[in-house]
Amino acid sequence: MIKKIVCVILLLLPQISFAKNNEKKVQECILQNGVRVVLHEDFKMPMVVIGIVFHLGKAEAPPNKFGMIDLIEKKLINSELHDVFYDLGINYCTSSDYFCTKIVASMNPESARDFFIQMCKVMLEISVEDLEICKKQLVLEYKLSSYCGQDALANNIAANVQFSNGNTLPMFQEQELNSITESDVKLFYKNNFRYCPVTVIVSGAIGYKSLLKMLHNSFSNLPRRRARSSIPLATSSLKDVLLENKFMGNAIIYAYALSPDENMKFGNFFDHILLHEMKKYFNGIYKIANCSLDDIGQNGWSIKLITLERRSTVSLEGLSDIYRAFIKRICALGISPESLKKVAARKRVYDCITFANLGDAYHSMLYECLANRDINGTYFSADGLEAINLKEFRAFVENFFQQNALFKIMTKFKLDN
Amino acid sequence: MKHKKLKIVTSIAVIALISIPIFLKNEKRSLEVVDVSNNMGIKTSLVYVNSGDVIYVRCKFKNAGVQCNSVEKHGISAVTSRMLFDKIHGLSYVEVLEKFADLGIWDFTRSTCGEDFYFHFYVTKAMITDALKFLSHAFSDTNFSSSYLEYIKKFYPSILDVETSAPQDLLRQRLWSMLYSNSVYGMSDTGSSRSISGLSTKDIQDFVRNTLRRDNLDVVFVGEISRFEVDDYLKILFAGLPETTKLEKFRFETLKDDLSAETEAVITRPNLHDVVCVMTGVRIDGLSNMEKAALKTIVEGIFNAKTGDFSRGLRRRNISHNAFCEVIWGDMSNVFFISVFLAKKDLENYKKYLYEKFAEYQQTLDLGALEKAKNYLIKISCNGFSLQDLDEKIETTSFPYDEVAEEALEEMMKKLFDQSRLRTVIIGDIAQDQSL
Repeated sequence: MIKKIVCVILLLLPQISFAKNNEKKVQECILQNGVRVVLHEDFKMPMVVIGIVFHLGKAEAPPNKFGMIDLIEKKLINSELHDVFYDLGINYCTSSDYFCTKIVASMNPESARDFFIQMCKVMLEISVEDLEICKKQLVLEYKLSSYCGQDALANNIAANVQFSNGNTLPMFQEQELNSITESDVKLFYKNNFRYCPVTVIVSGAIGYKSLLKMLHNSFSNLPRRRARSSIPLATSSLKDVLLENKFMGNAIIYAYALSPDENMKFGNFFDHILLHEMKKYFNGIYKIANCSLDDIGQNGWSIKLITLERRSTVSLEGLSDIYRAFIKRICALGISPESLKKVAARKRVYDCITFANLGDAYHSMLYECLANRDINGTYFSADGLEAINLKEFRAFVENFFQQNALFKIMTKFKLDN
Repeated sequence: MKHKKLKIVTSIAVIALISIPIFLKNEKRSLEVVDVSNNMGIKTSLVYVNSGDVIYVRCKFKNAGVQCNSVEKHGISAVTSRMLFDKIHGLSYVEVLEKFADLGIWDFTRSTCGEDFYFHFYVTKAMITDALKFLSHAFSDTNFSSSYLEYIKKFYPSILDVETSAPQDLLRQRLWSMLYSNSVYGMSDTGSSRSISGLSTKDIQDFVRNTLRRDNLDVVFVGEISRFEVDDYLKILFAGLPETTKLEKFRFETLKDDLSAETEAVITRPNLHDVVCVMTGVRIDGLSNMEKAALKTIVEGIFNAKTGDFSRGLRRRNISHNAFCEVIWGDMSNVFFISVFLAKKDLENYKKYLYEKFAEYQQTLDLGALEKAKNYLIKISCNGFSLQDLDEKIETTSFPYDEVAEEALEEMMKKLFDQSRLRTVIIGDIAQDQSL
């Protein structure tokens, strides 16, 4: 009997030693001041990725001061901190979109404590040094994107995203940007960024208890975060917009919105299937140069942008026909319990690989946080997929392309072609 | 009873004695890089990391990329990559995608831009054998379909059109043509329509036989696997690659130092809304790893956007800009370039600043800044976010930053800031005669 036990334990030893590396478990908590903390521990490399997400983006810029968030994003790390972070070996970047503003940094775990201490200072007060240079840089970026057509595309997307209160997303205006003063920035930051919801997402070689201790020590001075309310999006039948565009000529962008409820139930699964089917369908057709699926979401809502870029030989009508055939195919996909198992098996592999990489794990967690989905809930895992109600899902897919449609933007290199 | 208890205690002690060293050994092994000798004669490295089920595989055929194609067959590497991997084992493109998903092959990426032809992917340990068996057909089934080749040729011109639309792309192409005026290096890294349209399936077969070989193949495995497993995986994946005979040793073509006589060029483009883009480049060939480390240290120390002297100086002079600096590394040739977008009104100030600074840097060595850069690079380059980064670690940790001495930095500063080797291209709404 004892020999048998010994043999079994010896056989299990390799699995016991490395079991922790196969776990994808994400831990989270909310600090006393409302900061949400999400951590995926991974000790295979002595490295950590930390993202600080302010749930406040360009959609909430003050009236007639669009550009405020861009300026704040550029100033989030002031020039003094450049040197501090450089000496600590911290590599970072900032970004902002309509719904959130982020700082993402990578470093050795030993530098994490200092990083949080410095970030606390930034989160309390922003430097406005070199603000005029930042404005000039933003204007340059805007002008360049005007040449290529990126701004026209972004502005068109913004103009067509309508909220149920009649508001649309704001669009970049150079005069508005130049009218913003240093005191405007400081005041807006003081009244908004200091209190907006914040999520700290960490992936890497830090233990849960150590992380909490660091955050309790460094973030204790931060004021309590306010709750946010989201304004529902207005979905309607597909609106058509035609645009001349050098950046993405010969393309169609279809936009759809998922409500928080739909996003919670099916969002993750639907993305997985949609992307796979898109790649299969469109990459096999030489008339399609590129296809992509992007998501701009806020507080549970998800705005999906499906973009098809055609080769110049195909007309917009031809491209629309190809897309209609794709919709027909995906609605008839007939997800059976067997194919659901297959998708779930693929998702398990995908999650395994995603969480082997710190950066991918970070992005995966970020996506779930922005979608307001339960990080460790059933819909985040392959196990949860097998519990999906197929009848409901099928009904959802069949209706998705009609009922959830927002708008369609068609672009051409030249409008007279 | 006592005897039984003693037996149990002894067994537990034995288990502990066996398991603790195994555990400690595997923890210590983490991030270990080993060269794996094998009977296939393929240069292979293993980066051991406790990654559980996940393995990353990268395969690189050196000097088989588009930059190493002949002018007559410029782009054959890119076309070959499609012929090999788009339709494997008689399956259609879509069926191959499905097969990849079923076999757990994720992020399958291939590239032929640059000097090398490579592909890499992630796979799980449970599925790697089947995955490699499937991929091996790409190298063993070399009866290429002429109809698929015609299909590829049909859409190539539109790929090339897309690549020449943005100002940065136009700048880059022009600059490279000035840095390598008589070489494929100076041409598009996707290929040329004319040369691609003339390719036949025999050309592709010859290319595969002559250029995708064991003696120019460099393979990296990253994951929790042993050398013996690596050896087996190589045999499965590359059984289709023929053995190399001594007589046919792979030859690397040498690159001529053929900078254009023209040092500055202007591309006039209307409607750029008072923005000009300036790209300045320096080509430096044949660097050792020590020299590459020195170059990287200098670029990081002087040109990094946040703390570097160059960008700080631009801000102090109130020159509106967005600057981007990078080194394009190669075995045979490297290019350092600065790409800047400026308000048109700042062009004169910028050019004056650029040349003043280059002259200053050639004379003066700011050891403090370079020492900081070195420390920063050592801290960030030794590890990575992903298993793929750990593969790149092999390249960058072979850059011996901590061994870079003052003399090496001085030598590199002279090469890098030699104004006779500088080439500049400007794009904007300016006339041709308004050059620097």
